[in-house]
Amino acid sequence: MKSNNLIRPAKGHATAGSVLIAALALLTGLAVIGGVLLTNVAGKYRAAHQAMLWQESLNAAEMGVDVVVGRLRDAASAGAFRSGGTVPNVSTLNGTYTLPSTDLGMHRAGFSAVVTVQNITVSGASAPFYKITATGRAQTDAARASKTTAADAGSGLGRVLRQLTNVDSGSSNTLLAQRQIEVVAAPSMTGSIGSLTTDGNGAAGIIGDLYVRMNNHNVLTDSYNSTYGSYNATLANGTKNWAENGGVATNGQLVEAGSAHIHGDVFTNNGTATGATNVSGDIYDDFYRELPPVIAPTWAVADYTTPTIRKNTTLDATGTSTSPTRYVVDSLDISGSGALTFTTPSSGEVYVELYVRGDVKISGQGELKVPVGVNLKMYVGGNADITGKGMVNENSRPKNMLLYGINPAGGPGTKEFKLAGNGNFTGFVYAPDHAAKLAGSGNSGDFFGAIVAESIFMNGTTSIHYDESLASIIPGEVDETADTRDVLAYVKASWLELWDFPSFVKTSTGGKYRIN
Amino acid sequence: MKPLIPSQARGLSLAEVMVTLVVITAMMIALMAGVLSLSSSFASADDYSRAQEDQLNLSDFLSLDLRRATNIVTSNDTNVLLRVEIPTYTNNPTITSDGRVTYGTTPTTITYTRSGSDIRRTESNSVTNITIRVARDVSDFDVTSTNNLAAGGVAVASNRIVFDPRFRFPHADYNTNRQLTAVQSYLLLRARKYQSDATTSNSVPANP
Repeated sequence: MKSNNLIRPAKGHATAGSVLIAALALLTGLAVIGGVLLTNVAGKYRAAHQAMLWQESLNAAEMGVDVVVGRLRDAASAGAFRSGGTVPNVSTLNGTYTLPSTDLGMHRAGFSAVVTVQNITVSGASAPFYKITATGRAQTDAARASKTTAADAGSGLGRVLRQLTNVDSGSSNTLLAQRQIEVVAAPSMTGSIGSLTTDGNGAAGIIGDLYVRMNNHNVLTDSYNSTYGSYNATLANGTKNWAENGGVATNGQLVEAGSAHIHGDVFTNNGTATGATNVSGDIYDDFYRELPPVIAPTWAVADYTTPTIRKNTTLDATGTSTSPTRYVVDSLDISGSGALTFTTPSSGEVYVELYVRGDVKISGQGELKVPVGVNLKMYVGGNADITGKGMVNENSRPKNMLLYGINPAGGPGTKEFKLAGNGNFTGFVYAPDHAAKLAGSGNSGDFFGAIVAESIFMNGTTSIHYDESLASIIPGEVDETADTRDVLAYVKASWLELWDFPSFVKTSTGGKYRIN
Repeated sequence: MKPLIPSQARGLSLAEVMVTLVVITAMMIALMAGVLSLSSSFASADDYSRAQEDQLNLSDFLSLDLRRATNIVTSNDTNVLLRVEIPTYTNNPTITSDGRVTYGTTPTTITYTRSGSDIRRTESNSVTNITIRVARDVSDFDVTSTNNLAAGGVAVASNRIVFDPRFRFPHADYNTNRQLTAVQSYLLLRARKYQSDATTSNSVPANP
């Protein structure tokens, strides 16, 4: 009995052990399966993650360059490259610095662009070039490099990233991808109105940055050249001073021709032209031209400063083209039967510049008169509302009356340039940040010259005759000398990703490979 | 008379042994099949990952070289898949007032050639000539380029790479599935574009 009791437990233990062994074998098998799956997943994760870092490092480098180009453009817009301006100095742009991730617009930390800027003086160029070298860096913690064998690394294979650095820093591993590009930024100079309005296909005397809306079939555009006489005059060769170069253009996507009679071409920027049944020329959709903003004059000395010019004022005009007579006023308000005019020169040409800081309002029988021999350049800081008799240019040449709309402090489109006088308007309007309205009900006059504005809206009966002689005018020019061009912006003149192949070096750090 | 061995300690009957063996055999077969399947799957996945890495590698090199290419050179050599000229980098590029930027006096030539199923990349100029293998198991590699600068367009290049992964246990639809490994890209030759802009556009730097 006792011996039976001794045997029984021994046989019971043997049975339980078999079950345990079977269970362990099964668990081992499952563990192997799980391990293989995790290994596969981890490898793919690493490859995908590093490919992402690799692309993001290029993005960071691109943005580093863009930030610097943007700062150069800001400087250009602020007049830094004009005579007397402050060119971005060495301490600001030249040297090596790291842009914080917030500047780059990155969504998380670990991204940066180390940018080195060098300014280069180029013979024959009126503004410096800038060589910008940006190293984009994207990094993340605790991510190992993808599997790279020594043989692969030496043969050029097995690298997801060309320049992968697995940096051991203390107890944590930081995976860093970095790519480097070099861009040369070149100054883009202001061009003449001719370069703005012609692109080899035709010309345009009406340019709206956002759009042009011509809402009436009674609107007519064509062209002439005031150098040869008045509009439609008979020329020496017997032909008429008239041409079909009265094109309409926009940097935006819409020209609503409204069945207007356009004797010229229509240009959009990948947009459409509606109501174009009466367009004599062609319709193009590849137009784009930078329209430099007009910066407020910073004249050191003005000949006349008064809060407001009202009616019956005559200002002396004795200046020359290089030293014009200058006036600065806060506003211009001429209504009723009053007039603002200038003294008529006994001979030759005189030049006047009038800077109105605020609004210009001319209405009723009020008028601003530009006598024969006077060249007026007027800057408008606020709204311009010109109706009634309006602005009378007795020279019959548009280039004798140039109106500039200053870039509004509130941003583009926050100020308006309205021309709705009953008489003829002979001049050139350049207000790329003003919303322009032409005509309106009751207008019976013609417009001779050209107009450039942020947007252009027309109605009523309006005839616009583009003066092709304005092609030599440089619209962004606000400096004293008419032949000095301004830096409009900075553009990329070259692009190169730098990669020095022989610099590939494989080192072993803590069992991981580092490829520089 | 009491039995010598109590019923709890008796051996298994033949039927019990047979059932047990069948169950254990089935489990072992299933386990072995699973291990073998996973092994082949792991090997295939590893091969596929290597192929994908090679694709990324080759695409990356192509992007690098085409973006900075100033010219695509045609070749009558059937083994030459692509030949481009890139600027030979120097720290002091030559810049003219019209905005043309030139690195070095002579360009560096990058040539992609086929050697069996390998793609090799050779970078050569007056001082260096280096060839590396940038991809394995490539079955098709096509590059087409458009250089319509004269018409006011831009220079672009498109490429399509089809790999031939070394699966150990190819599927019946192998050739069809292989097409799924194709990688395609469409790249603007930026360096060439900027060179073109400098000479043809009136919005790029002009000297008064």
